[in-house]
Amino acid sequence: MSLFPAHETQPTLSARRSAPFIRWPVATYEFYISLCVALTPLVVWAMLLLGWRWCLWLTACQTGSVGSYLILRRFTQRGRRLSFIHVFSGAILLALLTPVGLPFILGLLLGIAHMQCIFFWGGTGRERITSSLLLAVLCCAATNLGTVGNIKAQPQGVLANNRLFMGDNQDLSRNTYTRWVSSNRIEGHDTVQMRPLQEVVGNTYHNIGGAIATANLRQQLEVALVWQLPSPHLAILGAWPSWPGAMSVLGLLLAGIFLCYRAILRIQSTVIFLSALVIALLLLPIDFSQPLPSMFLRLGGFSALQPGEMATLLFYEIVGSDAWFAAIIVLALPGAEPLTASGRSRALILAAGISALLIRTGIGIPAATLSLLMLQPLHPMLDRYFGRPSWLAK
Amino acid sequence: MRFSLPFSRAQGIYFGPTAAVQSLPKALPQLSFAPQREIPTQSEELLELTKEAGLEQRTTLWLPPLSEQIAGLRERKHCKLIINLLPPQPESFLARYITAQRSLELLVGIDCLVAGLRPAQTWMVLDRHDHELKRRWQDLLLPRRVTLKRVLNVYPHAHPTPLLWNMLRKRLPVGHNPATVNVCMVDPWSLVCLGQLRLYGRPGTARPVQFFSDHQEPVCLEVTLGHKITDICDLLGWSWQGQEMITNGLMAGTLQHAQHARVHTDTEMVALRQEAKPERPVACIQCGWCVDHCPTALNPAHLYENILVQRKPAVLTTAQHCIACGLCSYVCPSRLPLAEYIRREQAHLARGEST
Repeated sequence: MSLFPAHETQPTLSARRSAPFIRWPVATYEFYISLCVALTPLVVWAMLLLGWRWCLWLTACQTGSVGSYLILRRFTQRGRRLSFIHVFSGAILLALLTPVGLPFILGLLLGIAHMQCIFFWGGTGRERITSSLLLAVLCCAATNLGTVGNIKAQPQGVLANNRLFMGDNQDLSRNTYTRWVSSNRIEGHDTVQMRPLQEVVGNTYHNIGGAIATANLRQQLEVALVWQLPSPHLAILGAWPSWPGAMSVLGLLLAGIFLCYRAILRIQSTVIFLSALVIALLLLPIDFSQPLPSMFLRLGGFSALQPGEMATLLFYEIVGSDAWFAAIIVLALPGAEPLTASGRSRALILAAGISALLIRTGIGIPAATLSLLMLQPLHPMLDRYFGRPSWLAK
Repeated sequence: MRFSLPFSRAQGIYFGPTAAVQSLPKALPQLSFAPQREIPTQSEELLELTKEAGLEQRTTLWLPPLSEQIAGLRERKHCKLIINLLPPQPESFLARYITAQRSLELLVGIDCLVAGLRPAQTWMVLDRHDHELKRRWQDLLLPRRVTLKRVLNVYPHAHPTPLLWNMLRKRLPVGHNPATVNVCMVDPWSLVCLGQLRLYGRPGTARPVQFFSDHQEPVCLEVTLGHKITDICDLLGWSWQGQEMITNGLMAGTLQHAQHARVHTDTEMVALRQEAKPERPVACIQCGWCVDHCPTALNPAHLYENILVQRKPAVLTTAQHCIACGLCSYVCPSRLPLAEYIRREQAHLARGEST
């Protein structure tokens, strides 16, 4: 029998001259490796579903980031102190949160910009805002600038272009119940074009909000639930247009389980964020063009919707947004939340409130990720004002 | 890279009951002679007895000497006696060893302490998952009014400050005598020394020490105080040349010069291991693990930053609440020497210096 728990920590035994003489075997490197492992299902799913175009996009981002990292490492002192795995995982995150179908040269430029941000902000632990996520959100905002606040005018989302699997599943089904996303041949390509889930839900809310005082409400609901929204299993599996990393709730759940097992993700944070988001979405008006009646729709005894219908619409709204991605992947990143438990819960509730507002306004950007990023510079202040002192100090 | 078992962030690190001492004896040895000393009935007599037993010095890492605690409790009434059988360090199995080998002396020691202190309550704190030890003490303590309290053996809950907070919600400042909160907390070996003096009339000149090595079965030996540790290693046939020698646990212990290290009254365990490769600390990644694990709810990352750069007095004074368990450094993925710097600042605060 060897020393316990030293036998678990053999590779990282501390050589310090003072206690503790053992270390838990998760250093920064292992931390980011675990993150990369957790991202694997999302990457694989995106590759399978979105095809070679997304593979090239990921490669472009990685080439830009890693290439400029190697150059900076070769020629600068500061570059030598940066961590490769941090740059690598950041480039994956960047590729996972940018829209599909952008030119590859943009991916290359984004990768280079990502590395430059890391270089100037000082690398892992010193960047006050996670640079890869910030760039991804900015990219999403830039590509959606023409359609902000007018989701109905948004062009149809392209789910896949020359898929790697199930590509021959072309428009076979005429049933109302969609078993799998079927595709059309457009200019010789196997292409699946669909409206993004978030847009479908937004239109449904708009229609319901307009029909709230009329007899058309049931009809509008039926149209949305039967004809427009996908089946729940397809939504959970991720066969619906969205950002590549936020598509598959199933993949995100797998990632979350792994990150929890590695004690990298705090399950409490995920639960607080998602619960606060659901509550905020329940409280907010469903359509901002007619806020008062739609607020009454959700509150009090005037509810025109059945609880099951409300839950269904909320489910699609959350699945269609990047809430799961933010609650699992973004919250697992170091520096994504304040250090103290009390500061953390307040920050997460605030972020959930902002996310709900952004999601409901229908801006086509990863709202939950953006709200968490917006709060990152405020973490020291939240820790300072809301962090509780040691129980011994009272 | 190497994957290991996860730990619970909310509850600290649970190491579980050690299986190093597998069997505990079923029956208590019968006493065939009259005890050499009378049982103390007053706290003054008890204080004399503890001094005679050599308990003016520490017998464990985190508790003040028993005589100091009894002296602090002389003027107080309705105190609480806590017999702490929780392993002070994760790898410790001393409580099981003493239960197996010295239960008679331990029981006599408990009787002496109860008679002299007259506590309002007597608690024996055990690891919640060590069912064998619990059954054994349930049998042994039958005629006595001692309550068994089973708590989760989460490091460092054996430390008096978190233990008193978790069990009684009493705030014991770090390093203070538990007598200040009307509690006497005693480790099993102090009780054995007391019982030994009453039974045989001689103070303890030896103490049990656990020996660990990377490739050997751990052993527990009763070693004469002042004995050279290297001699014992030679006796065991363990090589100590070119190895690091750490006393009192890998989490909160001290690195010793092997050739000069001797067994003291508070030497509970000795670990020999290969010299480790140095690790380079990197920048804090703000993961918050140190904050999650601190048993006294400090913010070690913030404190470390203040010790190095900002030096805000309001933050620096919180260093006095550190119990030096080493958990913050243990979990830190950036390998920052948090515990070392905080301990250093604590020493400065204790001396009234400002660095």
